[in-house]
Amino acid sequence: MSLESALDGQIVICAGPGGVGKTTVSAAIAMEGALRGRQTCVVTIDPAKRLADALGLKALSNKPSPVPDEAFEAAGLPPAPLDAMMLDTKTTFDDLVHRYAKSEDRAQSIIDNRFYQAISGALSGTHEYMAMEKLYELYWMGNYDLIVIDTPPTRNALDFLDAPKRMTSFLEGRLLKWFLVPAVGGGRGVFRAMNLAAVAFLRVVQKVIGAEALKDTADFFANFEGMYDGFKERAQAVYELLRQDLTRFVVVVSPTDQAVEEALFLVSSMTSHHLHFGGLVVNRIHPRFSGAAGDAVGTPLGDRLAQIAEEFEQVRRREERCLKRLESEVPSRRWVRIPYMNRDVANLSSLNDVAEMIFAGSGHLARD
Amino acid sequence: MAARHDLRVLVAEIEGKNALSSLLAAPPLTSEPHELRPGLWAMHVSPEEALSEYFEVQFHAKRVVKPLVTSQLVYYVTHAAPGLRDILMLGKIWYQVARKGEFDLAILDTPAAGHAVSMLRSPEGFLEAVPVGTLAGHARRVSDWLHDPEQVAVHLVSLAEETPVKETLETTRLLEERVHMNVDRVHLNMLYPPFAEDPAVNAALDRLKTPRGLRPRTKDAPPLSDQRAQALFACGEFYRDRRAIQQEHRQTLIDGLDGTASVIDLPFLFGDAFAGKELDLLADAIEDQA
Repeated sequence: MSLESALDGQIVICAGPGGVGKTTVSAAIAMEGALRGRQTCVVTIDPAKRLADALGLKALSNKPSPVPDEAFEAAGLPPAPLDAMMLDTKTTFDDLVHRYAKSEDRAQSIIDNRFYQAISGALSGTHEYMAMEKLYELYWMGNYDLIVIDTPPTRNALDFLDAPKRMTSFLEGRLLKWFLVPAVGGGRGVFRAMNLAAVAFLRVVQKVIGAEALKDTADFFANFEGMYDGFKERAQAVYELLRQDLTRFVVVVSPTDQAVEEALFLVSSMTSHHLHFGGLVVNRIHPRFSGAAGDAVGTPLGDRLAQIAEEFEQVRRREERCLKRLESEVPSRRWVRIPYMNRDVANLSSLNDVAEMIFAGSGHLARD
Repeated sequence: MAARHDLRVLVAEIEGKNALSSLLAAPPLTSEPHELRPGLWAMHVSPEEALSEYFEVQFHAKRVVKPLVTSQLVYYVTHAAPGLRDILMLGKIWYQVARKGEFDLAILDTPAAGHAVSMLRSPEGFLEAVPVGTLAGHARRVSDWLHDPEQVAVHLVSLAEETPVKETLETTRLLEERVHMNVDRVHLNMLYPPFAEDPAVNAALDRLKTPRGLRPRTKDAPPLSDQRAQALFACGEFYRDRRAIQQEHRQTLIDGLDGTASVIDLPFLFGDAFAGKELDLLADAIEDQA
């Protein structure tokens, strides 16, 4: 039971339902890689403050910065080549626009456009798209032996995989452009006479959302013209990067019914997309207190503990059921289990404890 | 809980995963309210459905628009105006509750906190961008309704963990600053209850330093094996530590709220499943504290 094979790759993508500790697991995997001497970068989405502090992430810079040597020393560890960053979706999207725009003016008018502002911040799939975009950028910079990326909690299992493609076809806006492009020229006819029903519909739309909003949309697509090919090529390259041999997907899950179903769906979608599954991390398992429940102890404290132990037994049964369900789909040699900890991960030392559990029985122990 | 008081209650899930209906072993929710338990109704709200319904009601537009064209256009249109998707969904709920008056209470299960803020702000945001027009009139009515404390209250749900508490405080602040809505209540879910009712027993747990401390002092008590003492000790230590962490985060929440909203503690449920019975346990907890 180890996640050793995940570290064989160059890229580790941590995916899974929300609230299972993905960010912590990503950071722990990255730390392990760095401690083994590999130049490593971890991209986090929204780390808890203590974890961010532990990694020396004070500002949202959207650029990797090294975890200070002192942080390692304070944890009794040798300094390791670990960089960390927090993803800023909007800035990453802006960078991409600057990269592909025909001119600086055009880039600026896209960035100032209200329609762009709405989609670059809030459109579902944007976070996933930008996380993958950042990964691609870091990969091609070539500075890292290992990149570990935390994914946003997704509503749909493989959003991060489909997002670049979905977003680029959205940006292409073929259908909408057809209707709206003449509006930009400021000619008399706002809509192209293509289909009476559709034109009637657009009139209604214009009445409802206002001509301004419709014009913003049309402007956006007009300015985006010509950039689309660059975006599309890039999306294809990202897709290939995700499917290459050295990209490993680690699924993080906690033992609850809902999380398990989501994770299993994720694993099966990965298989059908020919992605390389690097293992499963089952996080936040309540510890077992075997033998604690039972007859009265004869003291108020002991008796109450026996009762609590009985309650934990029920939790254990619930969790066992979840683990069984996982095991029916994913062989347990591909898992690691991490117990619910009785303290928060607040420094590199506790992060190292997590890494130790993830890589127990493999290279990690040799280090100690 | 409200449905127990003979109120007609509507729960609206937004772009959700049908969590409520699967909890009560009911079929997936639709855009029409459906009665799950006596007095407890539920519906699902999606922007696409809300938009086509809106057009239908407002303009009798359905018959002129071909479905194929709409499905793609609707996608763009709902993203074209700032917050249009959100207004449509709020509008649908307003229509169902305030306009039709079919329910005494509606509970809106919003998406994650960050999105909830932009959602509740959407009518104001829309009015800033598009002050006139058909929808602007509707946005104004929805906005007035949202800001009437007699009509609408905001309750947040959180966990006693670092990130959720941080997000809850952030959401509270954003709602005040950007939306001018005050959070009434925070439900803090999955809290380990106090170890024991008797303070002396709690104190005894705090004092417990080794498994030896668990041995009964009287001779006539049944013998306690080392192994069991070990296990009981580990169990007590874990409970105490987790509860301490939770209480620390709970305190951060209370300090951060600074009396602006009340906090309702919801217990961690040790039962081996989560279904209707567990829902009742949570309703009891809310009823006791509210």
